[in-house]
Amino acid sequence: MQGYLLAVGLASWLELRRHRHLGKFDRSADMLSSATTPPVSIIVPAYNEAAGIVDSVRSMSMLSYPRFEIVIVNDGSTDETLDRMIEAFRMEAISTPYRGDIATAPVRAIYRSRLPLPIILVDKENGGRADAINTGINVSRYPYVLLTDADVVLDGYCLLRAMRHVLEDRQATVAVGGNVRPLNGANVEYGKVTKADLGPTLLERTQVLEYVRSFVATRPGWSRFNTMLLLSGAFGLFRRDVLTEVGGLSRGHLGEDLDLTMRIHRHLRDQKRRYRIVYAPDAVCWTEVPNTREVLSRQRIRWHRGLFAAVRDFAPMLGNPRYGGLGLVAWPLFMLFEFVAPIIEFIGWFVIPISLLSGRLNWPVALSLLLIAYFIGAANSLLALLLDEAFGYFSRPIDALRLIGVAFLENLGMRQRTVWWRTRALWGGRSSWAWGNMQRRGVANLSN
Amino acid sequence: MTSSTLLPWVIGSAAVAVLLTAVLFVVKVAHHDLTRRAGDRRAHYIGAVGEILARRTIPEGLPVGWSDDPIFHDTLSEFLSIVAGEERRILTELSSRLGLSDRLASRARHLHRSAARAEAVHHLAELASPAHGPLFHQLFGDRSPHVRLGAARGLARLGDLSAVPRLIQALAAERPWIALRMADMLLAFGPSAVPNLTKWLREIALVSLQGNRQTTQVIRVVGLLSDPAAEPVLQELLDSPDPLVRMRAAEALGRCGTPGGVARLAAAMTDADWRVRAQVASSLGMIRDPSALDVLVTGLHDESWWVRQNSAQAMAELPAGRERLREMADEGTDEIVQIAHYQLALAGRGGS
Amino acid sequence: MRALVADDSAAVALLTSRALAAIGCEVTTVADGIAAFHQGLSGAFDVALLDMIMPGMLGTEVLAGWAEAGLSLPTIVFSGVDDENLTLRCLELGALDFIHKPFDVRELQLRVRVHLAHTKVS
Repeated sequence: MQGYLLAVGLASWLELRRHRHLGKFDRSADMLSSATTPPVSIIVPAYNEAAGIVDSVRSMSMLSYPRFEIVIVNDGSTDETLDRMIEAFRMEAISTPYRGDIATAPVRAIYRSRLPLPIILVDKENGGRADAINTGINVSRYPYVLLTDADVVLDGYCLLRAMRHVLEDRQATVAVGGNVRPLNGANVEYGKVTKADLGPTLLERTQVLEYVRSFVATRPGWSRFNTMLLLSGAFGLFRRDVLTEVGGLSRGHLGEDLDLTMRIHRHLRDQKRRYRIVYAPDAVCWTEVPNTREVLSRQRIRWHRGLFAAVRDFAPMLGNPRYGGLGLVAWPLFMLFEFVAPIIEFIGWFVIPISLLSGRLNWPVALSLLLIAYFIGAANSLLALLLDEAFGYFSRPIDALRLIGVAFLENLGMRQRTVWWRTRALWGGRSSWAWGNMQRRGVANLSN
Repeated sequence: MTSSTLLPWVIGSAAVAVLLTAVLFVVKVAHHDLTRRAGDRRAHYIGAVGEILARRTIPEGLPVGWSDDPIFHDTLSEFLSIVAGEERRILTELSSRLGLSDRLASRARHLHRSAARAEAVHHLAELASPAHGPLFHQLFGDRSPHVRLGAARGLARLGDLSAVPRLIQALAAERPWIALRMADMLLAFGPSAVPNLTKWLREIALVSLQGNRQTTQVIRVVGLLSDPAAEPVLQELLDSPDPLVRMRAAEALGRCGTPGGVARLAAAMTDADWRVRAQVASSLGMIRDPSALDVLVTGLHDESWWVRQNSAQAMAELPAGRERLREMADEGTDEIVQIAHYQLALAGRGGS
Repeated sequence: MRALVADDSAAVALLTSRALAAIGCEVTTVADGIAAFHQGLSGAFDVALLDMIMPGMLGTEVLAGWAEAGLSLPTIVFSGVDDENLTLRCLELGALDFIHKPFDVRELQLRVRVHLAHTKVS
């Protein structure tokens, strides 16, 4: 397992280096004023987001990008989400024709802003996040859509940087994933992250480490081989026509983002079309991560159940040469290390003590193996942090010490707890598999 | 497997972890320090240049080190992008006193790292001194595409029309991303480039039946330069066998077409490809000539949703069109009523 | 004469405040929209120079907010963006004038002087 991580980490390092080199030639100023920069529709599903929706949308409206629109889909909220939006942006209902490419729950009204702001508010009956996004896709009119969440803080240049990757090969690029970082502890001023920080609790800091490993040390590696398996729901830029071809997001699916990405892969490979799904490490967005064990456990259980659904749905792709590197290498490895490994580790908790007691394994060997695993795990995390240096967050010496501390502490309990949650996820009847809700504290209130 | 064979592994992995810890710490501290210093230098330069501009005099004895510092180049470029007139003259004077152009030219020629060369060329392009024309031509053949781009920018700033054919070639030869930026550089030449571009279109694009990226980019640039002199050749391109070429030609005609050319454009509403028809509708809306009204009304009944939308939007641009929309809002099919209401509502708010 | 300059670019803010100080204004600079909005409402200024794209609140939102609060503060809008629509809307929302970047400092000073003179008269 660690070997796999090292290999992917190496690929990520190479990819990140290439990016930094290219990043110097961003010429984002040129893209901003160029007529060739394609317009983007940002789709934001909102359910009971009254606390932070206005600040979120205001922040999004200030993105540095020449032409874009923000489509907020109010998914039948029961709080004042709709009213706050209408009031803050002086919105009025205008009967708007749109293409119903994907079937969704009924739309009640569509609003536009009286201010010169490219904001469209869609009010519809409740149908779930996937349904809300599909409605947004229907109403949006630009060739590219960015799927994100209402509580995500987008970096000012994220659209520009994501689209830059699209423009490298416009014909083939169908999707771009972004870099998601935990927002907890960061200084958010007027909807922009002015200073990133580690959260106050060990729980939050461990998640920072996890996100760094996942987004900085893993995804670039995947991107290099065109085997991006998972575009985070917090930031996924897609070409609109491909989304409508695959029928948008699946309703009622727990792992919608993974499901969507895999479906796109399958669809395009089935049709033998040349395509690429890439990762933009410099397209950054920030999202609130759970800060209590209850919420975190529910999130991880949900993720793992989504993973299980994906494993089940895409089993025919495993080891299938028709799907190239994805089917032969990336998907099996991903499944192995994300899905199977925790179970094996869980079983190991029982096997090792039993072997020790029955004398098949002796103490020093067991201890040595454990220590090796521990140190290599820490080393992997440290390597990921080194790669993350390129981004320049957490620059104070005290931050360095804290992160190093977390790297060593993580394997002493936190990781084991995650393994337990993931294994537990597979228990329980289908009825208990539902979305929890995380208390929305609102983007504006998150500053330190 | 015994514990003694594993012991070196344990020690080894622990050592690796500790080593990485130390490296990480050192790297973070160093990076932090570097960033802070760079920030200080930048603030210093902003203050110094701001002072020079406010006093309108350049002091004697400027630090020579300035002209070698990329951060100073960036700051100067930023100021150059916000000031015009007298202040711009002062900044140009400042750069020549510092011998900046020569330093930048030297960097552009000799530095090994293409990133640094490209940066130097781009800054040199901002200064846009005619003396560098030959250098830009030379750098246009550099091995790094980013340096070539900078050189193209310099040539565009200088208005050196002899470079236009080479730029057009670059549209085909370069990677998509670079080609797009090269197209922007062509645009930077302004209307003076239109004769060269239309000449190319006549000689190459009309003759070869195949449309390609290069052709569509040139057509797009021509359109954005909004010169009615390009109208004839664009109208001929409306007959191209490639629908993308026809679409781009229609788009360009929307930007630089004259009321006299509306008839030819309107005739293209019968095109087989919906993308072309949709673009024709939009373009007729841009020209805003009332003679297009009838054709747009037929567009409202087109089989393609986009054509119907664009036709309605174009109609809303014409006073007579708005009248027709109002009539249709009361009768007509459901969809047309909805489209008409929508466009009228948008038009009533000053457009969106 | 007191001037409020709102722009998130340090170079622009410095340049403008020096230029206005040279014609005798007392200048306050802010770097984000919300600060601009509140400073404007405080009633302590005779003229404002507002950038369109700032963190916190966009220039257009600030203008709309001031209009709604019944504030009549002569405002000149900086626009670096080539958007005719946006500029027109700003004028509709109550801005007196706009200046494209790159700008001529003397021209800026002249316009500010002219607008200040007008408001003194009226």
